[in-house]
Amino acid sequence: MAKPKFSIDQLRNPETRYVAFGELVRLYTPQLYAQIRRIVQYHEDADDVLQNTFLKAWQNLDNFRGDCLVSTWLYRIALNESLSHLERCRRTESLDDADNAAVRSLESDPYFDGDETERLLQEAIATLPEKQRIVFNLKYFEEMKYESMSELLGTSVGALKASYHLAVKKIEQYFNSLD
Amino acid sequence: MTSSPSSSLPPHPGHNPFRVPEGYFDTFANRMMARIAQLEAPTPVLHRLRWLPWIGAACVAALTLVLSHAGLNDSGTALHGASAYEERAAAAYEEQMYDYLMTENPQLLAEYETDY
Repeated sequence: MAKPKFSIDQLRNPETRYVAFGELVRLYTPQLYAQIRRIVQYHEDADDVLQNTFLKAWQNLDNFRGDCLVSTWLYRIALNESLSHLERCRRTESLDDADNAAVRSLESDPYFDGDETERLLQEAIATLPEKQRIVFNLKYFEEMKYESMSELLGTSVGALKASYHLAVKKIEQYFNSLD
Repeated sequence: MTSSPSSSLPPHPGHNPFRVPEGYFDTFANRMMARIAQLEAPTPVLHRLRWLPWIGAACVAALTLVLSHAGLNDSGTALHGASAYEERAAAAYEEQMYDYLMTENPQLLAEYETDY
């Protein structure tokens, strides 16, 4: 990763905060976007969640105690925002009549260029409960260590391993059901 | 590959199948910072708007006062006005009558004793 062009002091100082935060946004946008997109899957949703993530970060700069890396702090906000987004979607879908609900499919998404297997994998991931989805994405795609994940999510390593194991089983079942 | 050897998960794609619109990352930071600047900008208009209902109420009260005052003073003028209207209507009727007579038979005009 490129060296940050801002410091925590600059982020805390009201005089330098705006410029420093601009540098922070430039530095972390691609990584945060990738992480959010894996969870919410669609570009428009990922764009909304990413903007909300940076807005939350801006509004809570004074609450950042500096006891973890800025990137970890941002990842946490991004994960919380992604979870909130999924929760909102689920509530909206449950309110909609199943017949009238807008059918979204990665197949018709112009910003998804995976093959058939990748599309099915994403569909299988979408069936997972939110937290399992996050654990699976972090482990399977980003190959994050359980210890780092534990720090990020505030969950024990044992619980994360169990969560990943369950997610894998469910995805396998999904693929088996297609055969 | 992070799944266990016995897992029947599909192989890791090895690439990111998710794409973004062209130039998305180049423009995102500027859009984001513009949104934050807008959020942080002082909103003096809102301060002015806070007084708007009171200013409106004062205007209505002043207008009501002025109109009611004018109405009291002009009650006599209004009666005079009605009388003047009747006079103007009568004159107009007379003119129309002359016009009609002239159209039908201009000679008839001579029979009328008029001083115009």
